[in-house]
Amino acid sequence: MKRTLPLALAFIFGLIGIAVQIVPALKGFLNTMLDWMAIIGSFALALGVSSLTRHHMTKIRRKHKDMFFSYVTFVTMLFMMIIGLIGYFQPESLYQRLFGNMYNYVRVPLDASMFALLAFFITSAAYRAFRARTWLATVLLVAGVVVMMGRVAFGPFMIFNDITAWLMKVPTTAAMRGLTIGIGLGIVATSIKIVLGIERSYLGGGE
Amino acid sequence: MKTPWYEKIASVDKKILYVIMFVVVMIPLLAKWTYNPDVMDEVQDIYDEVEEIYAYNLANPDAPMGILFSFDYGPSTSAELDPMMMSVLRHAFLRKIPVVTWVAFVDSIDLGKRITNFIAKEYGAVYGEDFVFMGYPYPMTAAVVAFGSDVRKFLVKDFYGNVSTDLPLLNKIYNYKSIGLIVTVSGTSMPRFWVTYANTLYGKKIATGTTAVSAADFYPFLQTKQMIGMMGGLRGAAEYEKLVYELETELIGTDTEMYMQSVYKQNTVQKWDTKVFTPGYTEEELREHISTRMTARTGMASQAAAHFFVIFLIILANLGYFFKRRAENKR
Repeated sequence: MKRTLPLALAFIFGLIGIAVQIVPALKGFLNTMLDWMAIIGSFALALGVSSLTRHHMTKIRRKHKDMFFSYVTFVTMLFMMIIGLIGYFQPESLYQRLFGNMYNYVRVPLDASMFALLAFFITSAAYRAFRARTWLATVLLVAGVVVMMGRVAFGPFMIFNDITAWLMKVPTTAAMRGLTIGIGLGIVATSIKIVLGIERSYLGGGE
Repeated sequence: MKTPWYEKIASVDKKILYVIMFVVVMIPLLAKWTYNPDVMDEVQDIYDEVEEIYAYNLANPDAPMGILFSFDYGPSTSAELDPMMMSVLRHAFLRKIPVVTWVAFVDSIDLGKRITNFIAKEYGAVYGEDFVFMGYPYPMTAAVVAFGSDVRKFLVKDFYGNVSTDLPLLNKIYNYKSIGLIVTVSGTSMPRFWVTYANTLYGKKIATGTTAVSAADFYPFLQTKQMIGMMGGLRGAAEYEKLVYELETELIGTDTEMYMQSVYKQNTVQKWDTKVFTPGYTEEELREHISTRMTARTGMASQAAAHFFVIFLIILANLGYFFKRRAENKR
């Protein structure tokens, strides 16, 4: 039953999903399905919080060497939850301002810093891994250098700007179009396999 | 035995490279160097489309077209994407085009609200009449489809809890017929989503702003005209920023600071909802508003320096590799 019911639901709703798109009389049901999607989607949040809590509780229970970070996770999660909820019900209160400041001056810079670290990874990668070992690697290397120059070209380097524009509009577009078509076909194939119950990995259990 | 130069190159400590990279990035930022980009076609096309909406609104003042801005990015990419969102918003407010904004992710709510209000404040835009912020519509698919008929039925209230049908702007701009352009700024695949739903189903024009690493994903959509234009990375933002700066100079002059202050002297403060923004500026706020007009161009100077440094490293490392291989072959 634990496997049959989800498989049956996937089959039935998969077919309904296709039907509502192609049968005009069923169009009205599309909105109902979207409402259900919203409701089911909100459970993912609860699932996420419970999974995170379980993971960090296990770390603390087992006295893992990094359990300090688990405490940090709990404290920050609860702190943001509490001030966020109070702030929502008390607009223009201290809680809402605190929530806003935590977001703007803690969350945003932390996220931006993570992204900014890319500059350092690229520096290291460019120096250690970006080598003209084969002719294909050389093509990649030359294209990469030209695009990098083109993105910041000025004065006498403006020729790189034009070459970059061509590289992006012609070879890149062609390659991306091929990839997109491939991905699209892959999605259709996987969807059909899920609806027909051939692809069952989403049920878990490793069977 | 003396270590050959190419061996020394290969064994440079990466901490040294990181320190040099840090210095290379910081100097242009601290020196406030700016980069003056040439405007690419795909950015110019977005600008021209906004100008066309402006021309349409002048000819049809009773049935204006609006622009829907979707904040489809989060804090991690805001350094790269904020400047492009700010520039297009500035363009829309400068041209008094009705603006509807919303966000695609729950953690972007504060970001979307802050930037919308930040730019609206510069031009004295009135909430509910000139712009609205709809918050985080969930699920996005339903919200995008709802815009096909009447979005007010799906989003009964705006972010601030106002009933949608009570907002004058939403009584004019409530479905795609009155939306001239959708601007999606994203570090994810969200622009693809907008093409699927808003462009394919409703034939809406889509303009996108995206991180440099994602730009390649969207070139096919430009070629098929499913997107009318694209701002790729900080460079794209700098190009649009330059265009808007020129327009702003033409319309309000070079003294932006005086213009912004004058907005709140000429009118009565009751006009503006303090829940949205406080009319008037402190010195610090003024400085922030002025500096954000140059963010992308200043950032591009830094990026240019970093690119040149990386290119130098690639050449140096490959020279070392080439000579090392030659020496090994000789042996």
